[in-house]
Amino acid sequence: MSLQASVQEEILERLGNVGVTARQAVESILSGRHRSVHRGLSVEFAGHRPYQPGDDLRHLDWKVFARTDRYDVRVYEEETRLRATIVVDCSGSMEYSSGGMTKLRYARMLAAALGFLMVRQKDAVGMVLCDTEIREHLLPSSRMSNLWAMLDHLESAKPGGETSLADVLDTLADRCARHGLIIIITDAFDEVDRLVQSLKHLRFRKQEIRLYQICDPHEETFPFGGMVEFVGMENEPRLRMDGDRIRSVYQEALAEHRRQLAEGCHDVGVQFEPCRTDDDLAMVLIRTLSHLAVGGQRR
Amino acid sequence: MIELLNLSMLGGLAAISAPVIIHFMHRRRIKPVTWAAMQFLRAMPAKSRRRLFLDEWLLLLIRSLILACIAIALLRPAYFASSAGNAGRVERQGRTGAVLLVDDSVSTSSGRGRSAIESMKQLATSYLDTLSTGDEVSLIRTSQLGKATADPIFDLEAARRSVEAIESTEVESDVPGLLSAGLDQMARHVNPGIELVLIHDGRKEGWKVDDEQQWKSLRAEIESDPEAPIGTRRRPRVVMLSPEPRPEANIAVSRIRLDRALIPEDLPIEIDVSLVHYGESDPEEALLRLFVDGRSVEERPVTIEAGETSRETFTYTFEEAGSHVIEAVIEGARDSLAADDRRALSVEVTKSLPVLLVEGATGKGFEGSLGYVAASLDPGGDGRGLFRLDRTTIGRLDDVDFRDFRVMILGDVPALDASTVAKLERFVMMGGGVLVGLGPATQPLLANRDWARGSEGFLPATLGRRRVPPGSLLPAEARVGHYGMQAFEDQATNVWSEAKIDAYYRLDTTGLLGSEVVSLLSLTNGDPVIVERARGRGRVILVTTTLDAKWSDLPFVSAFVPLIRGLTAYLGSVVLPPRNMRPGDRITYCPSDLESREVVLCEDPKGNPIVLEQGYWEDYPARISEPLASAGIYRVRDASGKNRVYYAVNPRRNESRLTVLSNEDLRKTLANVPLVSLQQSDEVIDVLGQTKRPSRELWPLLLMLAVGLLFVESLMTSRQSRRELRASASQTPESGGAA
Repeated sequence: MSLQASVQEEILERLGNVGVTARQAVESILSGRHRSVHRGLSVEFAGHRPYQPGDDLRHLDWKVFARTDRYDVRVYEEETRLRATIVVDCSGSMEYSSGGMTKLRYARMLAAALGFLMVRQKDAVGMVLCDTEIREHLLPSSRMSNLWAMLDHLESAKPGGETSLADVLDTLADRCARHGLIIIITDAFDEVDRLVQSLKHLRFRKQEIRLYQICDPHEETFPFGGMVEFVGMENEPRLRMDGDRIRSVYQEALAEHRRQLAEGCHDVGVQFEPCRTDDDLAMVLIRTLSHLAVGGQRR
Repeated sequence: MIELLNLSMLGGLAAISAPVIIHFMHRRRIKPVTWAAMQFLRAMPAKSRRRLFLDEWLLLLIRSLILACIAIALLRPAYFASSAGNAGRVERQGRTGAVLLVDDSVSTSSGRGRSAIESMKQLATSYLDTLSTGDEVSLIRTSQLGKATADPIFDLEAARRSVEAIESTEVESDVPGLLSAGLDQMARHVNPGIELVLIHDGRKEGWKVDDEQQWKSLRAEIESDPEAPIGTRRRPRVVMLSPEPRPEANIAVSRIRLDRALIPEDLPIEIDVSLVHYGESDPEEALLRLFVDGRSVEERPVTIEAGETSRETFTYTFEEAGSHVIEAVIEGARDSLAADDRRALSVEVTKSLPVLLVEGATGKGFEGSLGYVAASLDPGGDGRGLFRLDRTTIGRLDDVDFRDFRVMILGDVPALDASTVAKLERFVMMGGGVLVGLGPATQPLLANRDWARGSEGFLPATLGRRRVPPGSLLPAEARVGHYGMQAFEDQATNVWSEAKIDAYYRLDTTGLLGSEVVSLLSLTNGDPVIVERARGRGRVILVTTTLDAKWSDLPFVSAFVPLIRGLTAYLGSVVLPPRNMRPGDRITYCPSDLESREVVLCEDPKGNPIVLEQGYWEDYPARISEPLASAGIYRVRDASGKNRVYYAVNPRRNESRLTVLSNEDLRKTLANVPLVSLQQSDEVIDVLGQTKRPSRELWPLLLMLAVGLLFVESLMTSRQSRRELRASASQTPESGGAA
């Protein structure tokens, strides 16, 4: 099953089933959060939508209110166009799976779902596939054809290479000339300090950032007993260890890494979303987007 | 120094390797896992992996140490302090296992006033006082040698009671036997320190000083490891406790001897009683009383010089055939050992002795090969004398039941068939007597092949060539002190001077003469004419010439009749089963078939009943007692009282000597074995009394250490488990998402 089909079937249909609330949440998040910096220059009327708290009262269409007694706001083409770039980590470590879905496949589906949602909201979505460097870079566009191309690239992406997300983000920061949204989907198995530094760099370039850290369940539970030879997926030297003995230490190290990453993201204003490959993707989206809605409005 | 006391558990040390083996087996089962989050594992050596490594090896070390402690504790290591202590003082090493070897032989009852056994018991009690709780004691007595010994006991009070209960017995002393039993008993002790405590009366008798081979073997066993510390299992300490021996005056009845082996009824016999004064004091005056069948028959005062032997002769006539007992008792002497003041002799009075004469050539009267022999034994020819004769030939031997006769005389018999030879050998082995006379008909080849069979047959020696000396030879020398030749002992003149031997067979007695074969009469040239050899329970006497007048003039000399009668009586005097015994022997009574179905009663010297069990003696139904502990006269009778048999049990004569054991004797016996010799109770306490123990066993410490290590291991393991539990709890999906 193609990525498009699976995303449509598994995610969007299910999001449909979640109900209006979720849809509204998504839509409201996207619409209320990103105001155009080019207000007044391109004012092509695009339609109405229900008023959401946070909307500028100047855009409230009082005529409609007078006719229908509903609070609708006017929506203009330029105002709702969000320029989002989804960065998908395709390094070797993303290929890990403990039996179910690989982290990379989970990342693809998450990226595809977000892409669908945003294009449907007439936002521009671009994509970056990377490992140690940028492998593919699609500039943001709200056209459907761009989304199909993005899905094609996602589907053909092969994992490999080492993780060097910080370098990629630095490069991306240099290329971003306008305000936008950067959605990073990675396992973040990188140096936290460097990664945070790169995120800071992006934030400095006026980019909103959401970081999805994807983990496999085994990477958290570390269910290995006895002597185990760990074979790295990014050409690391092999390590022989007693799984029982190192489990607690490993878990402490992972928790520490995640805590540092969360704190770093918080410090630079990056939304940090940890998730596991066995998490329901729809629920992750709902939870994340709801969170974004609250956070966005507060911001 | 530290010594391991239980080396049999040495294999337990292999258990130490178990955790290591399990560890490495565990490590060997390595599973490859493709893994993404390598950065956390790579980072581990820098901070936590080292700790893990240390924890892991520390746990392994602790677990191995726990097993090592237990394994070493099972080896029972003991710390022995240096034995350099007070001069003369014995420092024991660890808990002591004491094997008390008590000589309770007859000589220990000696002593005027306080007996030796009382002093020995006091020394033994003092020794027990030097032991402390945890020490163990075994008790072995001379009278119990050969019986199962009891296990060592830790109850010192019970040991004291056992020592107090010891009494002198009638058994013979056997110090090597005691030490040997003590060495065997050592293995049943568990304490590390071993002491062989020989408690004896300081007398030389029973030490068997001249038995060098046995003492050499004993020394080697005691000093199995000369490098080991004294007082350990491999080199037990030998402690000798004996009261200070004093020369004692002791008068003993050393022997009762009759003037003949075969005692006929109604004929006076002489009873010689030998008395010995073992001592260096003044002459002793005493009263010697003679008892027959428990009745005093005569008494007379005697005076015995110190160090001398006195012989008193009594004459007595037994009026009734059967079993009788003669007892000589000394009364009124200043004597230190009462046990040897009486001695008994069981005798069998014979009414008639059945003798079978087997002749090579038959005849009547003086004719025939044994005509002169028959005339000598039964001059009247009416069978009323002591000897009841039955003359036969070889051809009729098959019809003869040998068990009807006690003596068999073969005269110039040419050959015997194999079955007769077998019967004859069986007859001798069962106590019968055989007198063999050679002659012209004798076939030496056949005799050597069938009768002598090397030295395995009944013939005392192999026949050599027949010798016909150029001139006649005379018998020259008769053996003195032999019952068969007793008639010639007191003869002033040479009774053999008239006898001429014209022909005889030389004997091949190489290696046998003097030991097994005894020459009773020899010729002037030294060749034996009459020899004797004991075979089984019987005796065989061989006359190398004829018993008739063919080759010699012997039948015509006056000595011939007493010679033949003496030899025949001697051959027929064997009484079986034996009735003169020593303490430790068993009464064996062979009743007739009829009697065997009746109740048989047995009484000890004090009149107490003794149980006789059913059994067999040489294929005959018999009643057999337990080993006899006391000396004296035992009586066995059937329920009717008609049949009565006396058994005399006497202690060995050498127990009466009371010779003081000298340092030279000790040097010859125990030689270089380190010996702690003590004679006084105070000395025992001074030398062996322990104020403190310089040595101790280490196993309790090791077990405590093992418990401590186990506690540490449990702490480490539980801490690690808690950490893992906490970590896994924190990684549940819900909490993982929150993280």
